[in-house]
Amino acid sequence: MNQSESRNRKLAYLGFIVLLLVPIVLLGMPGGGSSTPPGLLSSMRSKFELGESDIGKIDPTSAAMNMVLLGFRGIAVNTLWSNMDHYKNTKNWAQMKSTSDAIIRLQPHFISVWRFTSWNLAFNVSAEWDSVKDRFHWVKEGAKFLQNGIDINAKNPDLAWEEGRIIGFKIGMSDEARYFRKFFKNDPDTELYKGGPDPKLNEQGLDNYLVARDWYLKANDRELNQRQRILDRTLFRSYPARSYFDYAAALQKDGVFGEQTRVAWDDAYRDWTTKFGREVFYVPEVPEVGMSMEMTEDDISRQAKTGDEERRLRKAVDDYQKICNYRYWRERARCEREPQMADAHREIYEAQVAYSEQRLTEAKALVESGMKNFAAMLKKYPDLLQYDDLLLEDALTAVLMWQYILKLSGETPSDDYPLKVIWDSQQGRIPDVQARLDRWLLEQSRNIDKK
Amino acid sequence: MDFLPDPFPLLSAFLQWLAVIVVIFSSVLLITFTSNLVSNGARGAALYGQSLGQSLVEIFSTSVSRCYALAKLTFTEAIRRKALFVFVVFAVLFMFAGWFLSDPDQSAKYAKDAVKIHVTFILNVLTWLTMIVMLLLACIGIPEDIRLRSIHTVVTKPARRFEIVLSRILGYVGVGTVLLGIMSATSLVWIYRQVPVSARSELTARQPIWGQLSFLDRMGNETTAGINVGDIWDYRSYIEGATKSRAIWRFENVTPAMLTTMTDEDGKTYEALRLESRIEAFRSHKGNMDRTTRFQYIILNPERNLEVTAATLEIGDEFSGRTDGIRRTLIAETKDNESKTVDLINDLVAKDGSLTIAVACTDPGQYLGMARSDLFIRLPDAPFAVTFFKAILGIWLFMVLTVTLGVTASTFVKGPFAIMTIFTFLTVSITGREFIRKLLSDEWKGGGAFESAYRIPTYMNDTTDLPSNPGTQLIKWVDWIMNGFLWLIQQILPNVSYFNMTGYVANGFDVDNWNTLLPAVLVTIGYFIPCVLIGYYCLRSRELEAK
Amino acid sequence: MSTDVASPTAAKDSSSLSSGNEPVISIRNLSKDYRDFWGRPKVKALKSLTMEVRKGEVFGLLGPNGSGKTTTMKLLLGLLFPTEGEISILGKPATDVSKNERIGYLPEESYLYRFLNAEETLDFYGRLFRLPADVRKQRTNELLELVKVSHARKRQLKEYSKGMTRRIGLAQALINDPELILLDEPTSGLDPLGNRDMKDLILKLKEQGKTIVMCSHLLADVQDVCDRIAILYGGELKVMGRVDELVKEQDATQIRSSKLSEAAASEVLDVLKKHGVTDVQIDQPTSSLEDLFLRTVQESRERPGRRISV
Repeated sequence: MNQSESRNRKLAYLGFIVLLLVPIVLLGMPGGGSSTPPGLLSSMRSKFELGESDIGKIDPTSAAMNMVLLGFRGIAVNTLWSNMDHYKNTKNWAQMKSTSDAIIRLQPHFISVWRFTSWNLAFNVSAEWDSVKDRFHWVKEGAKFLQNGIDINAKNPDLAWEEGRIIGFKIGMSDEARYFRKFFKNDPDTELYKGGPDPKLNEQGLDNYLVARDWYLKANDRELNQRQRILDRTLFRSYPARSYFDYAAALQKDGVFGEQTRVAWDDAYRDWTTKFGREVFYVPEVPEVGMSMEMTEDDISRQAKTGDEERRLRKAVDDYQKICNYRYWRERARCEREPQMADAHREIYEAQVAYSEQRLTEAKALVESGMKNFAAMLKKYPDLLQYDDLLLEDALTAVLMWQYILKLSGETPSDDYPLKVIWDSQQGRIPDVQARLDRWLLEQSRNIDKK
Repeated sequence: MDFLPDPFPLLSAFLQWLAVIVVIFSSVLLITFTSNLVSNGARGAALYGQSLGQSLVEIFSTSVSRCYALAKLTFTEAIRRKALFVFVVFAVLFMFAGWFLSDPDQSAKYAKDAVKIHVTFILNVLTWLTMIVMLLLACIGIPEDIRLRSIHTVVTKPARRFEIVLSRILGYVGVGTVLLGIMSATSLVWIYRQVPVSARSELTARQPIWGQLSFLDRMGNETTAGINVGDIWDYRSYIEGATKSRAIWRFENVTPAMLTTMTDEDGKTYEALRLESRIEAFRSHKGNMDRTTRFQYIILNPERNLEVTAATLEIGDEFSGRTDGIRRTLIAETKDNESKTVDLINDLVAKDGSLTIAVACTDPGQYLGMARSDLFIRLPDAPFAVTFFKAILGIWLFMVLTVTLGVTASTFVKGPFAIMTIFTFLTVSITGREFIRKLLSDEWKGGGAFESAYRIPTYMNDTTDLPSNPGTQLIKWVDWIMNGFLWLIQQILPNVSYFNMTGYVANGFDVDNWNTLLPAVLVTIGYFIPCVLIGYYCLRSRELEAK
Repeated sequence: MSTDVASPTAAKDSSSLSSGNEPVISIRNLSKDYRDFWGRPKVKALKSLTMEVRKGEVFGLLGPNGSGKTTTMKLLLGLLFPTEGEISILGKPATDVSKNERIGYLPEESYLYRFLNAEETLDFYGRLFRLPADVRKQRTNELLELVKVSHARKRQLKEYSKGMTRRIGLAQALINDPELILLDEPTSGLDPLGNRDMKDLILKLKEQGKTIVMCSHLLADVQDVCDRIAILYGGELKVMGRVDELVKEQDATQIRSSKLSEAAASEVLDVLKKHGVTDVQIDQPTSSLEDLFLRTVQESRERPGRRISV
């Protein structure tokens, strides 16, 4: 009796287990290939793209590690994070990097981890080093690290954007930019890369901003399918075009003038106004009407159905243009792509070089012509004067240069000269500009001494 | 590179050990005696004395032959219970370790990091693998013996229970030795093969002579530490460039025997004092980015008023260090701007045998950070295997500790429980010692556990005092008891940091014999003695019936 | 047959009948309570046992399962600690390990190390007695011959049958040539042939002057080899004395012969009738110890707490 009771109980358990299994089996039925339709879980998984293969490249190591850890991934990751922090604080970079790698193997789809760690490597660790080559190495480490994340999370737009930022912004805008931009094309590790670029980052040896632009384009592509979580959407999507501006401006900074730079500005202008400028955004302020940056008054009144809509649309266009600094860049590019503006830049730069090489007569002629051209262009594009911008600093530099030259050749500057308006209105910025010019001249003279 | 050990306080450590042992044993004796007296009266006391006497006799009649037999039995048992399966795990780890560790396109400069990563990985794997396997074995040995009652056949022979505990430990140590021996030899070969050829020179055992470090501030006044440039890590102290600020090392007992023959760029050999430095630079402005920050070695002999600038160098490979030779023959500038030749040993070493080397930064506005271990005289290196096997010895000692604790625990609790207990005990020792120290010191504000539990939900920060009422009193009182308990735990947790010699090996240094290896040995012995006694006591005072 | 309440003197009297002189084991007032986790007594396994075993005798402890036989033995060996009472074994307290030099013990089931082979097993136990290597080797060979497992000396014990394990168990108990041998259920798990061998061996050991204490619930074993027995029931001593005396019925006579033919039997009956004997039974002899045992158990159930005298 007892025995049969126990048997009955076991049978009841078994029945219950089977009963519970039925819905699980039905819900979890795998899809694809077979004649039966996929279970609910399976179809939901593919609908919401939760499957590992939907998200991106599968890393077998990472999958294996997560399986071995069973449910202890959280504990392991916590320990690794605190280790990594310790290694970072005690400047044990090698172990810090390998710990980061381990963390990311455990959390391959945790976007913040990728962002945090790549930033950590490219910005924080790199700054700890004394030698510029070492700093560059760590910027590259950050960028390479992120590339893995981009592969593993094949749909995520944020990471591609971050990669663009490291390659564009970090390499192009940091204190060491002059070195970094050079290193990006000619890696300092000549033993490994034979004087060429690091193929992982820059296979074709392009300018860093052009490479960054490709990443931003990739980010924009992905952004069409998956929401980004970094910036306002209009701003986010402006980055490929922006890279062109950065590229052109960087060429000028490097002392590359003439057609190449002018063409760069021209490309930038067209990209800005025809691609980004024509892109249609549905913004919360006027959700019913598509807005774009290049909308004219006519476009606005044509698109809007009611007066209220028109008013809101006009305001939105204005607001978003401000957010993206749209009008400034359009005006600047329009100006810079003119040959006369290119001449002005070239002449002022060449005057600086001539001055540092003590060719004063030549320098004076160059700078005066440059100032004249510059002034002419500003007259043509008066809007540029209202922006607090680098272009005006170039104008100030030209005037300063002119004053230096005159001083050295013992002449007194006349009271009436081109760009005087700017000189008088921008007095506050002169010390900065002067300091920069002085430093440039000092470095230039050092280089001459070296030669 | 923060592995420079403090000198081991031999005497005070011994005294503390003795105090803990005396307290533990006298309280055990007192409690057991009292309970015997209470339950059995005067006869209990007599029996207690008799049993104590018997115990002493048993301990002193320990036989080597019986211990050997029992240890051999333990060994055979472990091997036949397939302890060697651990090799499979080990092999699998190695097969796949390459996936995690190698970074194939690293530049030569950073290949050195591979040494650090591989060595650290190996030593960690060996430590944890040995610990876990030995813990599993050691903790189930005696409980299984009791459960299967095979111990009945042993204790009814003249085998003393003391011998059983001791031999169990010895037997498992034997097993561990075999496992560790094979695994470490394999590992050494593996490391050699995995480390990139360009970084093999880092697989070495530097023989450093450490000095004492002091600082001069920017006005040239003596100070104990330099400037903090805002690092969280206050390990290094900084000196300011182009000021009178100096980091000054004083090396004792410098003899001509410390000189090394070095080769200059032209291939000529010269006698020199080999210095290795790991100086960290901190730039307060961009400065000259074409080169790294510059520093100078200045050799001082205050007795003869000599100050010789021996070399002006650049930081170079920051964080991985640079090696330079200070030539024996140096040129000193006298006050009259004349130069004369001085001999490093005869002229610059002080009468007491000490040599003073100052480091100065020559770049204005830049800072150099240094700690005591950042400059040392590097004698000819020993082979890598020397330091590697010393670190293995450290792991071995840790294994002995693990086995000792495991066997001891298994004399009074069942296997799985013993495993959990000792695993927790060791893990807390490894990860929690510093944490407990901070909890008990005033370093961390906010009171004990209950006080914190009160402060957190009430958003009360640690500068606000708790309201004075009976509740607060109760919280403080409970926390006081909890802290007392924690203090007790702190007293018995082993300082396992001595067993971890990874820092030395990974950075290519020889393990310090006196300040790391010796303490590790002493800690092991310090636990071995009381553990064997406790294990014996427990095994003796229990009926060997499986329940 | 009469029953009587036992008195301590009775026990003393009966022990004085034993063959030996000085006591090898003396137990006084021995009690053992098994306690639960909280220290509360759960089972009284042994109640105030007093007895002695003399040198050179074979002493049998009898009783049904759970009567306290094995507990007594474990108390003797110091595997368990008594709740009350005193034990002196070979002149030493039970907890003194040095007594073990002269003792051999065969546990209830041979608790041996199953990963060792026969040779290793005996060598291992030999080492525990610090026997020199040559002696160990010699003894190992002798004992393996004696218990008839030398053909399997290299096999691990986990491959052994129960009977073979039992034999190795006996061999290890004799490795030190002990004076006192404690055998817990020596014949359990043995086939009839093995059973015979075991009994022969016990008798042989007795001849060599060894003292043997065995416990068993197989009465035939005990009757064949024991000089004296004690019957335990529920942790209490019920009966103790010489086997021959205990089974002797004072008011009955037994005639034994090889099997009688029908004719012979009726003639014998006639003769007996002539002498006025009427209550005659003719059948095969039965083990009278079995009678005694069953009777003791029966009576103990009916009237617990009493010593039964024969």
